[in-house]
Amino acid sequence: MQSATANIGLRWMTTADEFLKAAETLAHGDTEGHRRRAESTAYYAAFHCVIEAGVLLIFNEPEAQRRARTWFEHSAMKTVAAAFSNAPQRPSDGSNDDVMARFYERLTAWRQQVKKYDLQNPPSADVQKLAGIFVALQRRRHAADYFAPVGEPQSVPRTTALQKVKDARRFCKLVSECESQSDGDFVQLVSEMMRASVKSPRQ
Amino acid sequence: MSVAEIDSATTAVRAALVGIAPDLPESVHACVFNLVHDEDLETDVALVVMILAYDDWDDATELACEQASDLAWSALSSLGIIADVLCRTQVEHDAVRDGEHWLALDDNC
Repeated sequence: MQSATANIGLRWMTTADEFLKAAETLAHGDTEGHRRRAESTAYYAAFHCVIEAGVLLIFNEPEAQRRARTWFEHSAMKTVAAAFSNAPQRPSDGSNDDVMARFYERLTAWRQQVKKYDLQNPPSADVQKLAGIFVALQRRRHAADYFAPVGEPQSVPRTTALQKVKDARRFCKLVSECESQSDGDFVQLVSEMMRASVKSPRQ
Repeated sequence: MSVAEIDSATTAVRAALVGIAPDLPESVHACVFNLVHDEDLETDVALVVMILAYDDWDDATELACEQASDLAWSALSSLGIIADVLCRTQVEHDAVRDGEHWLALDDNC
């Protein structure tokens, strides 16, 4: 088990580390309030991970990095992450004609969906995965902090809270791997998040 | 979305989730789901409750939940639907389910 004090050991993730520890402690709390705050804090850990890693890859100058950290806007980031997450993955070699036809149909629809982004081909499976985790974490954060949308649960059981903390930790590890490899798809994801944030009105 | 589109998408999500059931870890049971349309994202999102049988939240439990999430994510991703998986115990689910709206995946839910 990851202890509440376990550090994910990433040089640039001080805030994310602290938030992950806080989220884990809250997830073990006795009240619904603790667990909702755990989900919210887990998302904010992920938020800090993606920004910290992204600005280091995009900007060289510390002053530019410092400024860029303040540009990101949650809703815009979620929209971009969903577009990346929704990309179809190419079927394995030897797939039959029906499977390939469905893939190309989805690829065409996806390209239409993401035409406002500088994105021609589906991102890597890892970047797609982390984008999907980000979307799910932010959706849960919103339900935990405010009101659950119609058809979605408001209550946060302990198991779900612990799961979301784990998801945030996993997200940060994937981000760290992308950062250490200067993953081009990841750079593109963060760049698009930043671009969409600057374009959208701050909420 | 029209009613026909919703019905079609719901049927596809149900089939995808039933399809992954045999591959889920032994301690995990795909129980209920709900399909919602996220207006911000202009995308359908499937909330899926996975029931976990566990005594202590440990590495094995985390892994089982993660594997179940990944399977659901892969199956629904191929439909262009984002998966939002929620792991719960049966006791936790029973405590809140009356106030929630779900579609059951099998007779045990």
